Amino acid sequence: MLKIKDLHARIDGKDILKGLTLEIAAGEVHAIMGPNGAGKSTLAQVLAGREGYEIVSGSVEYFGKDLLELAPEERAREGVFLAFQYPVEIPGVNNVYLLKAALNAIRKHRGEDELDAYAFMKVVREKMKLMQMDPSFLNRGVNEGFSGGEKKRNEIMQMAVLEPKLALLDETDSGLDIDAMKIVADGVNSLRSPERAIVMVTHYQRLLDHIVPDRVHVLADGRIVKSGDRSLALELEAHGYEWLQQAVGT
Amino acid sequence: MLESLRQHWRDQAAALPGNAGQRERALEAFLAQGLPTTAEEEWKYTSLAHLEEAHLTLPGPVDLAEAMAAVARHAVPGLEGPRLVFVNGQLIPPACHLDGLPAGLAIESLAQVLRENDTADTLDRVVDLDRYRLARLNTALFQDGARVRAARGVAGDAPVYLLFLTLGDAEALQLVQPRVLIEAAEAASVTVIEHHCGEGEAAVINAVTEIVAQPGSRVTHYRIQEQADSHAQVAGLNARLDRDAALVCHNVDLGGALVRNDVHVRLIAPGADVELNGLYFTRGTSHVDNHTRIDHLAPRTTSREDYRGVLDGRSRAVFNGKVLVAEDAQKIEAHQSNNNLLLSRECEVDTKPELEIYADDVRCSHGATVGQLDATALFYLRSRGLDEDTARGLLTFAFAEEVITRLGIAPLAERLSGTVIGHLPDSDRLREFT
Amino acid sequence: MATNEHELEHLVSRKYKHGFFTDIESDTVPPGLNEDVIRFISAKKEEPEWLTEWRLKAYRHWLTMPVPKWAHVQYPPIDFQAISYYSAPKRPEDAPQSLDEVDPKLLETYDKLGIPLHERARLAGVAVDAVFDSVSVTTTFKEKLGEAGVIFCSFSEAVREHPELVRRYLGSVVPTRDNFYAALNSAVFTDGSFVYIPKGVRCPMELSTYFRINAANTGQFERTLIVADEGSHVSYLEGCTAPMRDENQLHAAVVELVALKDAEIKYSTVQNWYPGDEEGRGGIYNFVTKRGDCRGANSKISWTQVETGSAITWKYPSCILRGENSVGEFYSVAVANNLQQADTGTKMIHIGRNTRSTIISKGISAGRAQNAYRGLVRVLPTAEGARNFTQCDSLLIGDRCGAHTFPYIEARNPSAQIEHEATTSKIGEDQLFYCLQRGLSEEDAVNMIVNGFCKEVFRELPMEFAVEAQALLNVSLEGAVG
Repeated sequence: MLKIKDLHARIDGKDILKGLTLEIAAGEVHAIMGPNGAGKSTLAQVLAGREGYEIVSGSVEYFGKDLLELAPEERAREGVFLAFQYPVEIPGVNNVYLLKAALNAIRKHRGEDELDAYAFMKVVREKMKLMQMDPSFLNRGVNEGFSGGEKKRNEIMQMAVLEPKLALLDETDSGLDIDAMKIVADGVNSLRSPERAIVMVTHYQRLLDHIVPDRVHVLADGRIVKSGDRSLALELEAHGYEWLQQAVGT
Repeated sequence: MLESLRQHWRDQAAALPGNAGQRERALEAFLAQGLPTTAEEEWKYTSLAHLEEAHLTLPGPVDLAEAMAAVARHAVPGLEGPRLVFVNGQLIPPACHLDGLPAGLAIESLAQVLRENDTADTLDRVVDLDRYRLARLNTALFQDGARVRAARGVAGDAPVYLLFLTLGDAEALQLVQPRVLIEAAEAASVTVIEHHCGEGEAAVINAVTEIVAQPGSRVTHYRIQEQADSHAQVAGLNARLDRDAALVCHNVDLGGALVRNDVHVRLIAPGADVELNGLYFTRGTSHVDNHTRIDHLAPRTTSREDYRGVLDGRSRAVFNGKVLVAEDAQKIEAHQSNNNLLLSRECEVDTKPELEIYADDVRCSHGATVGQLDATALFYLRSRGLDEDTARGLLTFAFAEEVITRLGIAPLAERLSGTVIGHLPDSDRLREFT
Repeated sequence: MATNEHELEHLVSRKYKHGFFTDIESDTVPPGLNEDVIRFISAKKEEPEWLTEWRLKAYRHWLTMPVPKWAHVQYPPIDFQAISYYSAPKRPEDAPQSLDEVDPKLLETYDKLGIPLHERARLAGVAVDAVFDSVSVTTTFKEKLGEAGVIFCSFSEAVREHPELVRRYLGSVVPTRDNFYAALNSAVFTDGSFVYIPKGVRCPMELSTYFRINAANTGQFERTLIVADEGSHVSYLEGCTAPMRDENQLHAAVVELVALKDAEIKYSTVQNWYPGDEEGRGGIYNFVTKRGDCRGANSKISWTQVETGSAITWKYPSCILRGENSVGEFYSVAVANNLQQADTGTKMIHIGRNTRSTIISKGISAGRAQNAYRGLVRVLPTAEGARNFTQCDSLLIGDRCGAHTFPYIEARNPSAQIEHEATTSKIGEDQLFYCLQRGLSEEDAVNMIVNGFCKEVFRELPMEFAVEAQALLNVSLEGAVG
């Protein structure tokens, strides 16, 4: 599904990704771990098409297409979803309104009919229940006045409604207490499917207790320095990133 | 007024230090335009009309013993370090001390500087004369002032104390014109306190300060005004900040009958940053007008401004804070606030925080409030047993004190806290609390 | 003095009797303004003598007034002698005969705004058959209002049918000498609307110029007077989201509102006059004086405006809060794109005890436009317990536009509480990227964010107006991004 080859990216003249290579197949759940400043969030942002990053070299192939050629909204319509580390507040814009506009843009792109208000609300109510969100959230501004945990749940709720093919979860566990983490994890787990790949970017392994990944990668200094299965995350937890940096000699 | 000024020029031109041509041009230009009037937007709320008719005189020599006694009454106690003292515009050498200055920090009498080096570029380097015409009057007829220069990389950490004392004279309405030039070379830092006080009969003070901050320099400036209730003071502070230069200005007005301050800061290169703090406490029939203007002329420049006012009696305060962001000056952050506390039924405040923005990548905000003390806080204090007057006084003091604490120089803060408390009802009781 | 005035009056009426305008039947006066032209207009409208005099007084004062220059706008001087101050309605044969003859660009805009087909013709100035859909609507409408005792008619009709009301209230809120353009309007206004809501009546429907009797050719100097008697309530909608075809460049309207004890007036405006082309050629100069007087205790006047049109807008709908506990509100969205210039805001004058005012202003600048908020909150010593809250936000789209905020606050009562907050920022890149990441196009994302920014104002508009206003905003900002 996703093939990243020797990707180099920089921002404000500073190299962040320095030859990152990674392949992800449909149905898989990958975790990308690494110390702060390693380039984890940059990877998520670059895949979603955030402006300001300069792609120096390398390629990203998504279902055979050159992902880097696409505008952010085209990527979204092709099924790339980014759950933001810091979900953005948009005062005055209704949550439900944004979601409906987004869902219909994606459906239209897929050649499906737009959902009418009734059918749409049915979908949303169901997903809200899944994320244990109060229905009043719908009528509030996008993330406006939400607590950190509410924002993260809202991200996963949006993901559930939009049904992406490739979901990028950027530090989705940060700022969550244990109860909220469980709700978020249950939400994500319910979205695991053979057609969908999920990439979790995280600093801590605790999220992986709840969402068990198929593969774990360690990103350090702009490259994947080690890949393995779940046990790699536990090792990291036990020994810290310094251990790893020594082990791989960076 | 105009004719009396010409007369002064004829009588005293020879005695005034500096470039006579520059002074004469300034005088003629000033006279051609005259005093600002309330028809001008910038002077909408403040009238100088009574000066039109006034017969102003330039002060003559001062009696040394009298001057020294007055200095003892007014100078801030506990403020050690370099100091220049001027009484009625004249330097009082026995009251000054400049010992132990760090190398590279020069503190001089401006008259002295001009006598030794008769060039035209010492004055009017920063001030926008067309916008602030009163500076021309100062340039034309000022008698003395101070120049503070910190050379490249010099840290002039001890505050330089400049005391400008005006002793009003019953015989003549004196025009006293302090003048200050502060130059901070690259990466230098310097702190200057301008303390304007006065006593006696009516007098007119027209002060001008210019600050040139070279790349990476830091200037901290205090303008503390405690004039007599009969004195009128106008003061123009003009600063130009180069790349990564930082300026902090504290403006405190606790006296004066008619006070007008114009602060104009120009941020001309990226990274320049200015912070303006202000406090005015107006009483009786006093009128205090603060006009500030910050020009963001380059990208990535920042400014913060917080002015607070307490009004009592039949006084009037005016605040006009303008923030201008020029075209192409992107990535700007500018925040401004003005809060006013009205203590009496007869006072008036006119406030106008302005934003004028010609670039798009900016984050600017301003806020202004007019109000009274927080009712809950008042109730809380009373429920703890304070009587109402004391509770009010305490909360008012706390409101002003937030600006005073930012001054950062203990003897100065102590002095001003004392003055503020003295202005409040029930001040003896308040002293116990603070 | 009295003698002088009397003589003057005499002189004036004598002249009039002599009829220096022989051609009273003429439909248009040549360009230019003098007392004769004013008498001509007044005669044309068969006005009573007091009104002719009222106009002339205004004119004589106008002559002494300088053109105001304080607004943050720039335009070449207006030649007031080059304007024709009276022209009768265009004859049907001069107007376009069908929509096919109308500028296709205009039709495209109507399409985007979802204007009903039968309305498009009227808006585009097509000569429409007199048996027009809205005639029947108008009739039922008039009957219903008549039952409630509400007077809603053209200004000319009001002068004829209800002279006592007009004479009592005209100029009582905006005096003829108030400002340059108000004086000019007072001298030369041609028509407008008049509303009177009797005591205790809640007007049974929204009054809208959309269905206004004599809507056509109220002209560039429009005069509106709304009086809400004790305990009454009215909501008035002015304007239309569709760009109106108009050849007059200068518009100087005056709107006066009077709310007596316990009365409430809600005045909503959508202004979309021709803004000029992308290079700033053409476009309306919209110099309007709007003021409401909360004359009685507990009265309320609320202004809501969505301003997207005109080359230059110069407009400050204001409230004089005279009655105890009276309330003034101002909700505004002002959009300036391309080379438009807007200088708009409000004045809240607190006179009575416990008067309250709220100001919510949202300015959007795009292209090379200049958009200024100018406001005054004045609390007089008598206004014990007055409260004001002002929120004034500016949004910038593009790096060649300007946004300016000039709020004046004058407080003379220690019990007053005034809060003013203002922010200026551009559309957040974060917000934009977030929407794009969810699959929205850039244009939709901008529209959504801008509409969100304006929401506090839109929700003050009557429902159907709010929907139209949103569509209008999107059309106005077309091409502003990217």
